[in-house]
Amino acid sequence: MSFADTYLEPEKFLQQVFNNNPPEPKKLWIKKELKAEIKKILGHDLKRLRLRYWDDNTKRAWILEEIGRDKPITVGLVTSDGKILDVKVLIFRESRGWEVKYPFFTDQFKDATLATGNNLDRKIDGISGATLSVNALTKLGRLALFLHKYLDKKK
Amino acid sequence: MNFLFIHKWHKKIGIYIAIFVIFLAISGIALNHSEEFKLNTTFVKMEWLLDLYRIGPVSEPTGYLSSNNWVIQANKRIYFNSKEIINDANKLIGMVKINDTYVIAYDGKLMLLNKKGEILELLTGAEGVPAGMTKIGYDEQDNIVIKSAHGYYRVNLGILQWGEYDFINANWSSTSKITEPLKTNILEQYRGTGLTIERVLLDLHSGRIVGGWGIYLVDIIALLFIIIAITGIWMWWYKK
Repeated sequence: MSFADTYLEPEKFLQQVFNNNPPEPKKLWIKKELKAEIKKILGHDLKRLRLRYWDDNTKRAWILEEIGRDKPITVGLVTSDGKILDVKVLIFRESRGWEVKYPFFTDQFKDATLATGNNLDRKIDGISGATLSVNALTKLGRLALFLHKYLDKKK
Repeated sequence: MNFLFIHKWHKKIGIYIAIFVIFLAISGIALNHSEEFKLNTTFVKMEWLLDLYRIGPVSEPTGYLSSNNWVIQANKRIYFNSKEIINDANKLIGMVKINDTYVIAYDGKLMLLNKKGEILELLTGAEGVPAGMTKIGYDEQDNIVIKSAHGYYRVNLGILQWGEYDFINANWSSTSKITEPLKTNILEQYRGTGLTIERVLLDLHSGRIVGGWGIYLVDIIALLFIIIAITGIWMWWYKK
């Protein structure tokens, strides 16, 4: 059995982030130098050769996916100035671990930055029975910050 | 009831259910560590077990052919030629080739692949893909054309600019008869990745593997566990 709970449509997430006026999406090619580090963060290859992101010069929005247990969780993340501004679970397809959608969990990511080894600068408290979903969101938080940092360096 | 009667039945039941205690304990430990033991990602290959679970697509696979490359849907899985690329799709709409990129439409999404079948990216509503897609095609200028519940859309994939129209004439992707060797290959792959060891272990643990009555059998065994525990405590207390 499979199901998908859409908590927030990705388009609506972008409208919320950019005050109903999201910029055109930009492309980020996942080149060799990114691939290895992304693999370290996710524990596997990204399986995409490019990603889209939205950038209004003050903040960037990312819509990323990672498998919790069996199915991908779609997450919207907003980064700015090397920090996470917001994390929202958009679509959840697993049968367990949906508690990660609640702000009591996602608020832990606010203001998180990258520390050494592309880890978050803080410990994200887990939720009993939702370990794999928690891990998936933590990985996506690290990935969004890593990609944000990469784009900043390229500027 | 005297002590000897209880003792006799405690021993008898104990011997009969010992094998179940061992099995349920081992399967319980294994299920508790399903991810570590990779039970949820290791697939059963035994044909009789796959037959028992009736693993196979419910309906005939459907396929779309574009520039000698196939996209095929078998239940929720989508294959590019014989490579599985999606495992949670509801409805495959079609595939077109624009320049060197294959564009697969399904479930309100466009998946872009290069000619090696590597995923370039996945476009969704966030990137402007219209809801309710019913057809995908291309026009004379090699733009992607989408027919959706609300009208026709044209997009230039390079800059992702969508235009909405009342009607657009396009070369629409349509189903083709899948070649027999490819169909056989897909069906074999489908079965080979359709049943995890975790699923079988869960059904053995709960008794479901032998059908509805298996659950009641496991219930009876669990009741016998309780009887053994209670009689054990009672005998210890009696002797004391």
